[in-house]
Amino acid sequence: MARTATERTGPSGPTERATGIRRVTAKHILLAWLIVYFPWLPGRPLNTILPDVPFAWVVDANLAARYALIGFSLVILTGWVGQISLGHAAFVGIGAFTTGLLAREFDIPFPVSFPIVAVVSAGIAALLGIVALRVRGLYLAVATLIFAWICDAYLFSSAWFVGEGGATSIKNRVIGHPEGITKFDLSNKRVLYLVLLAVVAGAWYAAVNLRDSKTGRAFFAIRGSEMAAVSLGIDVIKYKLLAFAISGALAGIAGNLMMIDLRSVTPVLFQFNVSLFFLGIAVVGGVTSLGGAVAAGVLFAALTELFFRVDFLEGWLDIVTIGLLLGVILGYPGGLGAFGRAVVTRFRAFRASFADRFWANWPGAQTPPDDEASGSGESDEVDPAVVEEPNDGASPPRRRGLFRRRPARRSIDLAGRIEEIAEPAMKEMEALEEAVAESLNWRTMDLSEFQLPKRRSSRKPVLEAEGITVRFGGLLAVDDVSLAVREKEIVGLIGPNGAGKTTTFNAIAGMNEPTAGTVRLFGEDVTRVPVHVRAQMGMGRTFQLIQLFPQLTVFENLLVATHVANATGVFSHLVLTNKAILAEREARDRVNMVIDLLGLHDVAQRPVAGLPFGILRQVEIARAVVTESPLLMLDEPASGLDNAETDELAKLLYYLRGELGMSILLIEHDVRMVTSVTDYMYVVNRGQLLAEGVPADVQRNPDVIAAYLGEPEPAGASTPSPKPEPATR
Amino acid sequence: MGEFFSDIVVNVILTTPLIGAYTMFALGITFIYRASKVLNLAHGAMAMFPAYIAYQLTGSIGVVLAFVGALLFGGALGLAVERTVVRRLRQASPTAQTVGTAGVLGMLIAVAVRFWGTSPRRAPSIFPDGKFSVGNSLVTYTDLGLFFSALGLAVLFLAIFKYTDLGLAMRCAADNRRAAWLMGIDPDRTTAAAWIFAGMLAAFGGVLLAASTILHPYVLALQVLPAFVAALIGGLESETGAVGGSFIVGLTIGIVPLFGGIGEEVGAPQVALGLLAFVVMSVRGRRFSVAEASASTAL
Repeated sequence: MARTATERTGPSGPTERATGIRRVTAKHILLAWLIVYFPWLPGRPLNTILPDVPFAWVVDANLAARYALIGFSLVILTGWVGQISLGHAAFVGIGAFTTGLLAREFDIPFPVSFPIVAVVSAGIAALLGIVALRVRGLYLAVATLIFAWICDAYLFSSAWFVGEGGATSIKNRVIGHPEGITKFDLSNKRVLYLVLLAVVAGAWYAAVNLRDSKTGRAFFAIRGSEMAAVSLGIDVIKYKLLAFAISGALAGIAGNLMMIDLRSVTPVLFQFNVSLFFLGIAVVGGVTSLGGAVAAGVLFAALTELFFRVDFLEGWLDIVTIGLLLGVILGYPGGLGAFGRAVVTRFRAFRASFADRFWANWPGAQTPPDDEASGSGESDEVDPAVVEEPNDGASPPRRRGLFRRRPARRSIDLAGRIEEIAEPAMKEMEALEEAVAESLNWRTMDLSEFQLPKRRSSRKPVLEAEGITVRFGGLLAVDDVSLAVREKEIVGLIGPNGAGKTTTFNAIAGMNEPTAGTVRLFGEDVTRVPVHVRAQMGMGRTFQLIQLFPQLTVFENLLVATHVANATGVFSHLVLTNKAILAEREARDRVNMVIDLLGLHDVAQRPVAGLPFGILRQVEIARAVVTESPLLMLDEPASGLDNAETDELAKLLYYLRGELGMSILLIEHDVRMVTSVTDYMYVVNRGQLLAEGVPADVQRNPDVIAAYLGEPEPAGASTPSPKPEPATR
Repeated sequence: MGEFFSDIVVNVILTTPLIGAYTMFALGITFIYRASKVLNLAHGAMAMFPAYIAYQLTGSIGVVLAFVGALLFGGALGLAVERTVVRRLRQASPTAQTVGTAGVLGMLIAVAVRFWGTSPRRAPSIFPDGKFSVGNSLVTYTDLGLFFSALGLAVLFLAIFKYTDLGLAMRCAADNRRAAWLMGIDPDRTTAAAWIFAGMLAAFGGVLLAASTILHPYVLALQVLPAFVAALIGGLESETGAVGGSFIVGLTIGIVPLFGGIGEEVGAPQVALGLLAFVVMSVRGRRFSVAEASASTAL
């Protein structure tokens, strides 16, 4: 496939969004006008049928807006970062009661209390987040549930917090009324609607910006694989706390507005079944989709209204909403977000095909459909295959009356189509692999073209490990292993299974702390430095079990790796400053550069899930390259690859070293791979360093042979090496 | 000082029914966690709902038969939750499974609220009605019956796990699903057995706890949270640990209100337990996440 076809196109959607360019049409303006003026739309014609409905609708819209805010809050925390919260009602309650407390005790009116409440609930959520740092998944869910339980049992029943009698009502002190700007009487639900609309719109805008930014990608990375996120320099602790704080702030804001709207709330409104109701909003919306959360907020508000209005439905609201939650999670995990996207694509396809059919049938109107239908109606049903023969080629099958629109022939058609679909899919997969293999010259070059004399260079060491010892309880897993990687060197660490390779590797990479010994990176002692800081210093790595982010495309996976280079902060992401846009463009350029360099154009826009294993390995390496780390550590890169793929990997490593000047440490048990690729190698066995040297020497070392073959060989005997030694000049 | 200690004794005796109920819940939570690697958030509802069933049936078929009926219903409910929600979400993700069990919790509570309302009710007991006084508090036979039947059931289940083929099979399948399957054990059946046992235990505890305290959809369903703490203290994988954890949790609830100042505030026991849970989770957090990771890679 020609490289020019997809060259430098980059992603279509996200780039446009990130650069803030979007066409505004009259349609959009009309829609915006309708949404803003919604409370003042003439209710008269409807009033004659349904009295008072427009005002109730405004109340519902306000409710929907609050639900949408809570939905955003859960989408960010649960959908993006993967931290389940079963106690969100508590955050909303904290927001509401804090608003009441501020008004009651300190005479602080609404617009002032708004940011205070946001900060307070963000802080409390971050406190809960500290617990969440230690626990994941199931336990976090229990932690949030217990948190809500504590709030319900203690905080929401304390008079100092919620006011007398377990309820608190906010004084009618809102800006401008009765003195001041009358238009801003917030006890007017219609005016409050505008406030809520502004808040929801602002939150939505900020959340979308966040999603498409460095911060959002860090969130997705944590959800996908914390290990990989850390290895790319993402401070998981910071971003988890940030997610909790943002989520808590949004929930608190919802509570704040709820208090302003209702004037008085009771603790019953924040019981734990309400948390489930809120979770239902996020889940029904599709957990990750902001638009879905808004849609679900509107749906749930409408349901609330419906079940409140209609007498015989009383008491069924929770059953229906929880039923929706269960139904979505069991049957349609994409929720309303996916539903909306599906409807839009269907509609577009339908519109396109409708236009096609319309124009196609335009001249076909000459043949009246009736005469054929009346004649051959019966034989049509008996043997549909025969009927199709004369139809073939002459004209497309026509409609033959209202009730015979779908003849039995359909099944035959379908079978034919299945074959047609299945065949190209396989071919496409093969073609894809070929295209990737041929798109850059390093792949087509011969391995020998890369070969250099193998010797220890005298350059500066990039990585030095001295006397690494790792002890698990009484077990001495690694005993006094020292190794070094120098600039532009490919160094191998091999050993039989269970020799302590991976433990050594993890100690160097920072995944577990060595019992003794020091690790120096670019001359600095990093033995006690957390993994993400090492990554920021310039240590890139890949994993034995590939740790890509499965829900993201190849391009997005690589984009996550621009994290360290991107110096912009969360606030610039939230409001999408110029700086953030520039940094985003730079990041995308850099990813495109790496894609060019490694020839990954053909897979760039594909989701990672479903790509061939060898390409996934290359993507993982590409991701490490995007970080621009001078040191690349590979954990068993050849595992799961066949010989051809292994050779290609070897070429890639040479290319990275030659073209980009990277230093590479790889651990492997594939002797052939290591001896052919590395300049210098270390052999460990039973936790101890057995031998080191250039591959040719190590291969002749009797200890090494003994460790691999199990028997000591008499010295001087010719040793059968697994493959002809690479020529050393 | 002596008065303080007699207060402690009285409070401890008063918490015996809670300890009994927590033991049964925590055992069930542990069974389910071992079998399905799921923290069953619906457990409280699986205790509450059978209690209402027993309450409803008592009028027509008598206390004892109603109790038996509630137990059977509890077992069936456990199986139904496993089949309809937990198993179907196994392929999805632990997140989906957790949300699924939370959904079941919400659904059962919503149904109970719809049909029986939120006003607390007095539930009938299978134990005789008498009571005797300890200090200046009253202990009913139901309280004692709850405590001792919980201990008896705990011993029974430990024996089943230790000495029967079914118990061995369940332990095998819990440790390594695939290996158990290769050895001719159907892990789906052992999982189902674990859920049925857990459901019946939850029903047992729920019916008796309702009789000992009150029958209320939220209160009863939330009584399972201390049992979660107990199971966490026990390490989630160990039945004896769950029993020990239940004692720690029950005693905490009994003793905390005796301390002046903050201890006397409403909700102080809950705060104490919550903090205890956070501490336990923080200390064991790493172990949990490691266990989770290994579980997800092993399957």
